[in-house]
Amino acid sequence: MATKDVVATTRRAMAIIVGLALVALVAPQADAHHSYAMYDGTVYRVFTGVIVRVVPNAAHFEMHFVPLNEDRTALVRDGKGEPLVWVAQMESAPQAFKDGITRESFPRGTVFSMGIHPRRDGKPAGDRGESGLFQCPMGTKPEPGKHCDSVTGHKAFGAGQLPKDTPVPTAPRS
Amino acid sequence: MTRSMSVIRTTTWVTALSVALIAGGTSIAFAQLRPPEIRDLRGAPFPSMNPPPDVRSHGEGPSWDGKPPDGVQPLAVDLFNTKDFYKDRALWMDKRYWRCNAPRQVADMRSGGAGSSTNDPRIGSTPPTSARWGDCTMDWPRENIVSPYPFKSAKDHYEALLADAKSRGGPTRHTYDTMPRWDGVYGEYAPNGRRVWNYSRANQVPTMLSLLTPEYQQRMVRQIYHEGVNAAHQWSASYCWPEGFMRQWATGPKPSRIVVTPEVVLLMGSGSGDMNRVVHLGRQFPLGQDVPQWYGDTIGFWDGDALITMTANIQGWNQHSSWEWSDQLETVEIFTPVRDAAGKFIGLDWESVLYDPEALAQPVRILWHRNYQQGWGTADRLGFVECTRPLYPIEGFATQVAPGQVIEYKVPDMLDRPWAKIWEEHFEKDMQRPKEELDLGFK
Repeated sequence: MATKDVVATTRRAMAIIVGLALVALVAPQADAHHSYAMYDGTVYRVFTGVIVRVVPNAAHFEMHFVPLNEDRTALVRDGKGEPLVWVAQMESAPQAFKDGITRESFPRGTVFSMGIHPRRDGKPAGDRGESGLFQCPMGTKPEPGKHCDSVTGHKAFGAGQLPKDTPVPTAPRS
Repeated sequence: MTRSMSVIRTTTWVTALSVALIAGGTSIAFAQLRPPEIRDLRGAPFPSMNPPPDVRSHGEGPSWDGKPPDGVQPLAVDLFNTKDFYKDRALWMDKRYWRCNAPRQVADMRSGGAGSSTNDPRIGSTPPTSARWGDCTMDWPRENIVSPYPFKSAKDHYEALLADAKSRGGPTRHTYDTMPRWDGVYGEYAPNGRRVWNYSRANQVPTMLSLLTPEYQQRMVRQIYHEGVNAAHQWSASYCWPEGFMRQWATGPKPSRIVVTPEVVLLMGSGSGDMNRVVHLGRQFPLGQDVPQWYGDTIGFWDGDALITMTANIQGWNQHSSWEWSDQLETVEIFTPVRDAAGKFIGLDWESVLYDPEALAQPVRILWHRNYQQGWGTADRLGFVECTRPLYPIEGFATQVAPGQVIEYKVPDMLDRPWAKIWEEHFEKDMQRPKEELDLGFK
């Protein structure tokens, strides 16, 4: 009886191992060039910002942008008064091109909205995750507190919607 | 009598051998750097000697520190005593502002070596004001550098070359049986040490500046200033930054290997980085996604045994001690085989016409020769460089850092001229640099 249990358990274990191996073999390649551990995947921050440049020849496509303030009237600046540049890591360059994201479609000054999983250490960088990407028509910007997906004539690049901003936990009172 | 005959025979042999060597040498020298001319399209002769000699130092040794050549009135303000080179724009086109040094001479004053063409440091004993003078009488005429062809763009030039080939029944479609056998290893043909002008050793600085648009003039002046005066060279290889397209015609990685197939011609090299250029024969642009390439995208065709190419989609970048180029740089390049008097293949004449309406005031040309050395079958392997960073910018100076040492490091914006940001932060605080605002359309 004990021997039968051992054999059955071994068979189940082998089946699980083989199954997992098959899943691993047929699963799509992630095509990642680095770990995502630096990003907080439980948090989305949604930005409307202005393109400084897109970087198509990075290991992952990158967008460098400066966020707009809540009124959508001015650039967010750092402590020295300089525009605060954020770097958003995107999908692979081929996928970005497939979605129509190019140097030509996102020239400097383009206003767009996107959610990103921010870096855990609070530095101005993040990963797009599954967020949608919306571009305001050239020369337009959203109403205060809103994003490009609310602007008439906006354009979507790739699938997905803008995620909700993850609420910032309130610091406990001491 | 017998001894006399022996002397006569020996003398005759030596004379004949000398004549043969001179004749042979002359033949080879004549063969190189004189590609066949097709008027207004390629192979235009140079008005004067190509490649040019380097600008010499005017004098060597401490007694020449800061001392101008006889008869030359120095400027009250020049590169080596100015407090703000931006304010001196009106002087930039006066070679005395540079103490008659070529751009690379200025860079070499502080690059750690003795300096170009001298055996002692040319910056002198009280840098930077003691910088020595170059030879004010030397300069390679501008007419040698600007393109002799009537085209405003590489595309127009390339299409004219293609039309010309078609008018003669081309372009030639080579097979494995008929294609030119250029495969092998090449070196740089530098007769008497002379190199092409892009080394920035053959020209007075104003002549180089005259090739550039105002913005790119300022960029070059800025670079020469910080190299020569502050010893703050931001050379790409120091930081494992890419060397960039134009460095193949200077001290960067050279096209030292060639592979020819009916579909592509590969130009490869390795040194302070790797260069890989692929000439796609019979193709049209675009060759792929719109991503700037460090060595651009290249198409081409055969016109008999000459290879004619066009390169576009080049990443704008910087070459030290010289001029920056923009993303708009495009080239037409013509490779022509050269043979000696016996018909033996000895290398390639390589004519390049550079079009960059953002950086260049007008198109310019480089003609150099790559001398064939040996086949792949006998050569050493072609190395591949995965650069391991040797230096970091510490207080604005490229500095060796030992393993384990902790440094403060500011991440550069690699596509926003990182070299310039380092100079701005560390060396230009009291200068009135024209403001470069990041204009995003918002305050």
